[in-house]
Amino acid sequence: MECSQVKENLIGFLDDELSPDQRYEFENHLCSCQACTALLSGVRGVYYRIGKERESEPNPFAGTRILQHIESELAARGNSDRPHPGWSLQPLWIAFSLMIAIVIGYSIGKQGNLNEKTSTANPRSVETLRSDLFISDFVDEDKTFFINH
Amino acid sequence: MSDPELIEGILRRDRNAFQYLVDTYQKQVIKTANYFIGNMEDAEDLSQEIFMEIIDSLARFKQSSALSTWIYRITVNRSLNVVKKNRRNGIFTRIERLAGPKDENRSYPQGKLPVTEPVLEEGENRKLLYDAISRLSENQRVAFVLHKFDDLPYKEIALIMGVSLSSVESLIHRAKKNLQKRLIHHFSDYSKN
Repeated sequence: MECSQVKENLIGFLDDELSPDQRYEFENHLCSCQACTALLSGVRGVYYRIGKERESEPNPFAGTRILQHIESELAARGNSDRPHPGWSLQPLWIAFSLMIAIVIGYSIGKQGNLNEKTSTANPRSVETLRSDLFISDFVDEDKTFFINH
Repeated sequence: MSDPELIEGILRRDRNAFQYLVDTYQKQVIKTANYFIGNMEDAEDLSQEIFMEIIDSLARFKQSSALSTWIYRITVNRSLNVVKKNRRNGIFTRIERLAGPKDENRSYPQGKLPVTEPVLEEGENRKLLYDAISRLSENQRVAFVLHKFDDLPYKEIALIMGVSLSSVESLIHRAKKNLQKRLIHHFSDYSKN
């Protein structure tokens, strides 16, 4: 077996996928080739690292953390999905407020109309008021000036 | 607890079902995520999201395959997304972190091959391994990792990936050849220094 063939079959050798004849030739070549032996050693060190990775275990408390995360996530969603108790009455509150506003508006408007009617309806009462308050009739001072001078 | 019982329990939001799901699948999920991401702590964090996705999408699981196969599929997809995101963000250098800074001063006498075997530190071997795997195409990487790390049979890998059995064989074969090429290239360069 040549060096090029050894390079072609490095991982096949490490995975034990070579036929018995190929394996024999492969190992025979290694006995006489230091470069291929070194290369195989380097590749083996990296490739067999896969086995070590498989042995590595997660944190033993990882499961508890996952479960806590699930529960807190679902609880948070439950709270955000559930409507506020007052929210169900919201349309009623809006309708009630509107009705109150309409009633107040109507009564204010009605009060204004009544005032207007009373102010124009009875001129005599104005005269009475003026006299009660000692309000004299308007006097044109310019005219009185000319009359006096 | 059988798969249908477990599914029913989770859909009912039964705490015992959640507990059973996590107890049964946590190792599978975390370890597989770690094989793709290359960092156990990140894999543990990601597993929380993976389990939430499992719970959220369980109602859509048609039970045409085993629950574990379906969980593998979600784990692989989520892990690949994280790898892509890390690459996009330019923080894929976590692999560098595994072994620390590369020893640039390591050298052999000029013009001589190392007659002794190149002794690399474990961290450096790990970095090399994950670096070589990360350069495989996505399909080759998934097939290779599920086969060599998770030790899954070709048939289950085909179900997880949604490809034929022969495709899986071909993907793993090509993945090994590419990995071999990259490692030979690395150690050839190494021996030239």
